[in-house]
Amino acid sequence: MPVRATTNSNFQRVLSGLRFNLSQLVLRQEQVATGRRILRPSDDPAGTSRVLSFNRQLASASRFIDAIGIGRSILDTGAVALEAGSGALAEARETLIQGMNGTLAPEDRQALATEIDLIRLGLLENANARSGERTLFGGATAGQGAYESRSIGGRERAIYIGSNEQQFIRIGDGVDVAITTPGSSIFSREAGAGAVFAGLTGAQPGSTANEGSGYEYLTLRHDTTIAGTIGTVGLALAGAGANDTFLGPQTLDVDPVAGTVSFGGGPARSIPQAGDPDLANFVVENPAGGELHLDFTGYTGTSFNGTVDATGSISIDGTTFTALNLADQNIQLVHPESGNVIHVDATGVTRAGRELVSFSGKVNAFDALQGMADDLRNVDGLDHTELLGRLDIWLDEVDRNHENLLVGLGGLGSRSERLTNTEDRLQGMRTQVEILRSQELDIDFAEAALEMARAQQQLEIAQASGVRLLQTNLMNFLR
Amino acid sequence: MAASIGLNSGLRALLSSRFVLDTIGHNIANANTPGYSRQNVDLAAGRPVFSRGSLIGSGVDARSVRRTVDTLLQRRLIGQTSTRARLASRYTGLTEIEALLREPEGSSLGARLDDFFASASGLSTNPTDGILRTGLVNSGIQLTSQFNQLSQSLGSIRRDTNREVAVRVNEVNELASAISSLNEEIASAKASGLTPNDLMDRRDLSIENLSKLVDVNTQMDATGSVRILVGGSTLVSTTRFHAMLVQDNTDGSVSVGIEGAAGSLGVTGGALGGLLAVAQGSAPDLQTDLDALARNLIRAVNRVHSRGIPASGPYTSLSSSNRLSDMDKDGDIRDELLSNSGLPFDIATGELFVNLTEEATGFVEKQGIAISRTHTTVGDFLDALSAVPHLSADLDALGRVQVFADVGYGFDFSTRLDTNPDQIGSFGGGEASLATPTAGPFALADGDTLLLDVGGTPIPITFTNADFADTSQATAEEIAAVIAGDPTAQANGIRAEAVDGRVVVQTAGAGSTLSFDLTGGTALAALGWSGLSGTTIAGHGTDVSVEVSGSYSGASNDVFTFVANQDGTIGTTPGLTVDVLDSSGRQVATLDVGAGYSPGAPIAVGNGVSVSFGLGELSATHNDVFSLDVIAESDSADVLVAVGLGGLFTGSGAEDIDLAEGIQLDHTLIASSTSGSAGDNGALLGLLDIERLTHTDLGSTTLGEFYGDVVGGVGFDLATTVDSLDATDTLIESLELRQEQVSGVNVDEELVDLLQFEQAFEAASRYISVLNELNDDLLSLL
Repeated sequence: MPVRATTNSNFQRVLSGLRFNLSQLVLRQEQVATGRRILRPSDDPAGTSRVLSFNRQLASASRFIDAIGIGRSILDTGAVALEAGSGALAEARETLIQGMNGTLAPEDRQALATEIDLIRLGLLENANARSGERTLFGGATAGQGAYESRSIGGRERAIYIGSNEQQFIRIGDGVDVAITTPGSSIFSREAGAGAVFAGLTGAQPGSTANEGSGYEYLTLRHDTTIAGTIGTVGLALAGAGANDTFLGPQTLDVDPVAGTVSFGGGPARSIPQAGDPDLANFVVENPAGGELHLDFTGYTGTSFNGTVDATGSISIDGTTFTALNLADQNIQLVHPESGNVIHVDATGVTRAGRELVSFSGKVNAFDALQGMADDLRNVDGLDHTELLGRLDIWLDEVDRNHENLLVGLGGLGSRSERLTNTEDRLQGMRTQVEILRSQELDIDFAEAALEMARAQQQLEIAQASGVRLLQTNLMNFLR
Repeated sequence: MAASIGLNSGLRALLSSRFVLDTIGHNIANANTPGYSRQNVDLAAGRPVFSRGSLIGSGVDARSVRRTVDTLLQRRLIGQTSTRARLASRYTGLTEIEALLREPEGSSLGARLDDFFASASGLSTNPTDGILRTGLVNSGIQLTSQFNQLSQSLGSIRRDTNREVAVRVNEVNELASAISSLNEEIASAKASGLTPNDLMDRRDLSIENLSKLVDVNTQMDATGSVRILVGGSTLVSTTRFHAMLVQDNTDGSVSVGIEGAAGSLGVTGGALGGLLAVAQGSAPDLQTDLDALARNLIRAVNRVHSRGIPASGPYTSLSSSNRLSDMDKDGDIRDELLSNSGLPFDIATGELFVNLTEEATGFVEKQGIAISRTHTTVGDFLDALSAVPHLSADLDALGRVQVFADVGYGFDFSTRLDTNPDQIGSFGGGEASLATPTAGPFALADGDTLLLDVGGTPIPITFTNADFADTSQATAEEIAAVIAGDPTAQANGIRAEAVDGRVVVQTAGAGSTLSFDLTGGTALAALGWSGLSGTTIAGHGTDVSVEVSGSYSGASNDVFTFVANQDGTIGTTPGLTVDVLDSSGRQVATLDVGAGYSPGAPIAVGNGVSVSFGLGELSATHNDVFSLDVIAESDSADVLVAVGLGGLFTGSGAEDIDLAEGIQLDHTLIASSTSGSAGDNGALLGLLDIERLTHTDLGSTTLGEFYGDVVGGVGFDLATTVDSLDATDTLIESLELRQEQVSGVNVDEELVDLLQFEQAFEAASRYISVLNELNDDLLSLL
């Protein structure tokens, strides 16, 4: 059946055609103008869901990349500080080895000690390095350094004031990487092996364990010399024994036949003769260097082999002394300031002096340098061998600390590299997601321009044909 | 007679042609009138007349004027018009909602959510940075504002929609009134035998307009009246119309009803149907989704934040953001069940751990508070908080929980470890200390005794039934309370504590000079002290300092109990070990603290926990013991979130979500740490976990995924509406064209008809003229 067109339907058809083609043109124009295929969710709901998912992925990747940027900067700053610290410890080691040279004059050692002091200060600066607000080696503490130099018992000690926590940043879903390493695992990493006595006085670790860190000087003081029977051969204590440094009962052997005098099995000396300048203050030493000062002025020339005894006191802080019981195998000494507890076996003690006790493996890098500087200054007037005994301890501690530092440095480096690799991966992923997002969201300009041209053409055709239709009317032919 | 017939035929032809010409004029005049149906004149040959034995035709009759209408088509058109109006109305509403979301690009909620997590991530890289802290505060405010704004805008759309519903209902009533009037007029005309075509056209147009507002069902009766049903109820009857009414619902939505009829109408079509779908469906649905999103965000974020510790240190006071209500209206909130006290979030049965920190020493004491969903009242909860030493809790006038710490103390709810777990010194401490070898319960009997002696002063302690809930199942807490409460014991410096279910009796002071004797008693066997009768328990000059470090990484809460395996000195006695047992008595670790152990050096227990022991003596004989709470979940009851203590966000939905006021004023209150160190970012990393956390309430999706689904859903609804609208438009266009084919006026056709009947009129005139001439001829013969 042929379509019965009516006047109204003709107008409606033309109008509807114009509306449709115009809306198509407007839609294409909007897409071309904005460059977007999806301007609102209803344009493509499924595409919008994908775009939102891409947006989340991009936001998440950007966050991780930002965090990585900050994290790497912190790690790299830390690595620079540790490299400088490593250089400082290497320099300290060289300086110490120089200081061990027996030919070095005391003033040269003083100069080396000053150099060590400066290295220690530099190392402290490295350990307290910051990146912005963050203390790099202070764990999770804030607004303070990692180490603080405090005077404890008259000595400068570096105390770790940070926490032992690592700080992590998130570089992926559920993936955290530590960007800080607590100083306690770099500059003061402990590998406790017990207390080591330098061996000057013959004091040994007691039967009970010791507790503490760093090092202490035990002061063994000579108090009174008990002359025993030396008066029977005309000998007397020079200065009433005030200058003696030996401790405990020891054998004095005066042998007029050999013409020698020896003490406690120590080196024999020739018996002084009248007119000798040290006749009234003749010093004999036991093997540990404990001195007995004798007055030979009234010596009868007969032989003597008897015991001379000396009592003493012991102190951990150099201030508070307790009487030294040389038979005690377990004297407990507690430093009132540092809290370090040392148990001393006094049965081997034969001389007074300052005994270095280091908590092996528990001396931090700064205290090792401090001890090294103190000993290079040799305030105790130790001979070369005694000095070497102490410096060896410091050498071990510096080497141990240096190794810890290098391990820490390696850790920072590997983490920095991991961050770089992750960032590369995230950047790649971000680019990929951006491409996918663009494919969903953006228009293909060529296609859109073509579609727009087509819509325009369609509209013009509709307009032209509509006019033709509407203008054709029977009225035109009726007279 | 024949002449008369002929004249009559001519006259009828003239009149009929004229009638047709009038109708053509009417059609041409109404060619563009909406609703007008083309009219045709029914012409028929006149009844024949019998004349001279034959039937002679009497000309033409114009019988009636008929509308050309296809009623079936009209009905379909009305149905589709209603559908289209509904879709158009829905389209308008959804477009507004879609515009609110500002997706996929722009300042949307999704972008704000991403910004919030970006700020948390930024702050996690440097938790003490004030600028980054302010950044998190700002992005939190922007996120919550976006929620509020969306919620308010949706509310506004709903209110506007409700207003438009009222306007549309008025229009419905006006049309119904008009149709009712037309019904009367048409019925009246028909009763008079007339065909009121134009009135019927007007009524049809009104019905079509009505169908644009509601879905209508029309029924025609014998009188020509139309009955209109909407949603099953009569809007227009044959005699009257029933007014449509707007009904306000309690949830803020509206529905419509019919005067005199109970209940609401199920209007599903027309503009009104579309509006009601938006007002009752799309807008509230989106509001519900946004509320769910906000609610889950608040809960997840506050769960993390309330378990964190601010950069400024543990809290000294906290005020809850949610108010507890007097549900039974008896004037007392404290007697309400905590889980039924009007809180916006659920409370489960579980445990809340409170850490109390002494500022001067940094010592942390951890205390657990059991919460029962079915038993714990508000009063119980407040009392339990107040029972934590140096802590007090109460309700303010508005029903908010206020928690205060004594001066010099702070509190938090983190999972951090108690770094000094042996504060009473029951593990090699300076105090003379004796513990039971096992945890309770202890099978005591009424009248059992425990005989102690301090420096010759006997301290007889008697246990009676009154002291216990069940004497044969006496708990360590009950026994310790009896001993500690004994006046003689108190006077002689003897105290007692419960340590992880074990009874510890000890001297109040510390030192090697202090001691007490266990002289006997009938309770010894039950307490596991039979072999110790007659022994002296002495204090120590050096107390073993126990320090715990690390953070517990285990999956569930537990209690580690530490016991010595023999008597000996830390770091000295060969073979001296400390056994670590979990709450089920299973051995977790054996720590070698004998010869070779460097006192003070941390030893790993496991699950991230390390412990160090200082110098001192341990006694297995005296059952030296201490316990350590290791907490994976410090608030398994979710009470902090429910009450709103220590949260980053306040509120419970999109409308009232806000960043906690205190944090807006002071960014140092952002609980970034879980360890207590100011630079720790544990809680911030916890916040970042939320982004990939799935929520059961959200259909096991993440917050971002749920939001994406909501946006996609709105887009999908709208796109579907647009597609349906396009399809309906096409259908309506087709129906309208078909209706036009049937009922429309083609002016050209009418002009053709005009010519045709003009000629017929002329022919009839000529015929009459011829007859007249014939008459004249006849008359001239006379």
